[in-house]
Amino acid sequence: MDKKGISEKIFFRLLFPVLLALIWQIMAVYIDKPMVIPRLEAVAEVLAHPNTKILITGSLFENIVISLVRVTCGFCLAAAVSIPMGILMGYYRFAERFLESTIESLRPVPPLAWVPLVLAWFGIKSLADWFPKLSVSVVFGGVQFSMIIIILIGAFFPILLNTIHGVKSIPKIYIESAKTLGSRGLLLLFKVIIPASLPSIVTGLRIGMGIGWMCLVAAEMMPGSNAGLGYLIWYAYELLRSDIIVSGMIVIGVIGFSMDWGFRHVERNRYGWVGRMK
Amino acid sequence: MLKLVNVTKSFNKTNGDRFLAISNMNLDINENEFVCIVGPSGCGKTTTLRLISGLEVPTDGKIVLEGNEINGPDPERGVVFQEYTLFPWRSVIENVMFGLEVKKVGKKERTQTAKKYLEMVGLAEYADAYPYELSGGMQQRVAIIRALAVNPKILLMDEPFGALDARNRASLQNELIRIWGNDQKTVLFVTHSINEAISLADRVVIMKSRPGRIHDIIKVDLARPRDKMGKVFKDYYIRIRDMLENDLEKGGP
Repeated sequence: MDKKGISEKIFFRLLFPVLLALIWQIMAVYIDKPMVIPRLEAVAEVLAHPNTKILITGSLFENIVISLVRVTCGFCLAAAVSIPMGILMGYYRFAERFLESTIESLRPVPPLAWVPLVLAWFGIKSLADWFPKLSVSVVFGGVQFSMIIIILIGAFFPILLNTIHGVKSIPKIYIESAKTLGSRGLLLLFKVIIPASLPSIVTGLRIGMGIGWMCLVAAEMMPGSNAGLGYLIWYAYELLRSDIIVSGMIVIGVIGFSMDWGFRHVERNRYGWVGRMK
Repeated sequence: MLKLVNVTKSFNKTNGDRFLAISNMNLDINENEFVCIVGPSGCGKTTTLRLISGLEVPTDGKIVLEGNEINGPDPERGVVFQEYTLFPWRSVIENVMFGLEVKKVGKKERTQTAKKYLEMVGLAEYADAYPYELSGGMQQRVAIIRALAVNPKILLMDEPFGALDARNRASLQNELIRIWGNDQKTVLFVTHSINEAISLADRVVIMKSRPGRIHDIIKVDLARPRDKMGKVFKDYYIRIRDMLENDLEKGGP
């Protein structure tokens, strides 16, 4: 594609966000109530100084790191449980029969509904309670089990369902030809079943990461929370600092978008064969 | 070399009835022999092949390869299917190496073997391509050498050229005969094309349906390469065609 075509495409992609910002700013100036609708320069001021301490919490940057650590922990735990479980349920009918009704009835329960129970079970204990040395670090001191569990619940189901789907849609003929070439048991698992379902698993990871990130604000609202983007938003709300609220929302959105883009990039480049078989 | 002794296979139908796919089949295949099975659809020719491959288990009787009764799939019996079965996540050469990898053959040796086979079918330059970049005929060539790379005792082929156009089909038939001549393999080849069977086989097994069983076995006494327009070829063709047509008249499918 020629250069003009590319710059036209980029222009078109940016057109709507710029229009939106413009309308926002006009409204902000017209209404002139920073608590209701902050001006863009106030928001930009917060975003432009990620290392400055915000209110009594840490800097924007520190809050981002804490949130990322929480989401990563919850997401990795979710993947570690749901991928093996999904492979089992996709490959063995008995495992599916055994677990399916439970999974399908837990799936519609929103992660937020789990908050009271999770709090009752895990309280406000964090990683630092197990490893006291970590309490010096703001980041690890802020990784409470309850929050991780809430994010885990959010990320769990999309990964599980996509893994099951991936394993189930492996053409039977691939497994048969692998068997006639001598592979069975673990070799069949690692050389055929996992690689064949990997594209679907990656799609599950992408959706799971998105939902886990969405659960972050709910998780960081819980008692015992003292940092993170979600906490920042709620704390700013109490002080009616809508410029900080909007900054937090923008950061959450941009990070979520970037992670999704990264996963899509992997899907496109690593699994170009999907849907192109004759 | 390969013996089928009173092999019977029945399946459960969805309505609960039993379906007799193969009834009391006996067959002897000799070392280095090229045997084709022809028959109408539903006569159990594919089932026969799947039983020998070990992907299905006989209801009764036994299948013996060099004195050992068959028990499940094994690379000593290579299979080429009609469907395209190359693993789409592996490059061409990785596909050819699959069986060797499973056998735990060292990396250097398996790369060498795979390259040798790719050269044999003229696909060396496609080693790093992915299956979706190959034509159907190329994919089947790779599937054949993937089965051959582990050095099987017998090659089982289930209508491997069924999805190809006539020209591709003819050129793959020639290539198969060439490979078979070089490698001295035993081949059992299922087809519904009488023409293909006479072009390839030392012996043609003609099967009948309902229940699937052997109707006759014809030895093809024709030097290779075979002239498909010649009189002897045509005589064989008419003989086999008449047998299959009789089967249809007697209430075949």
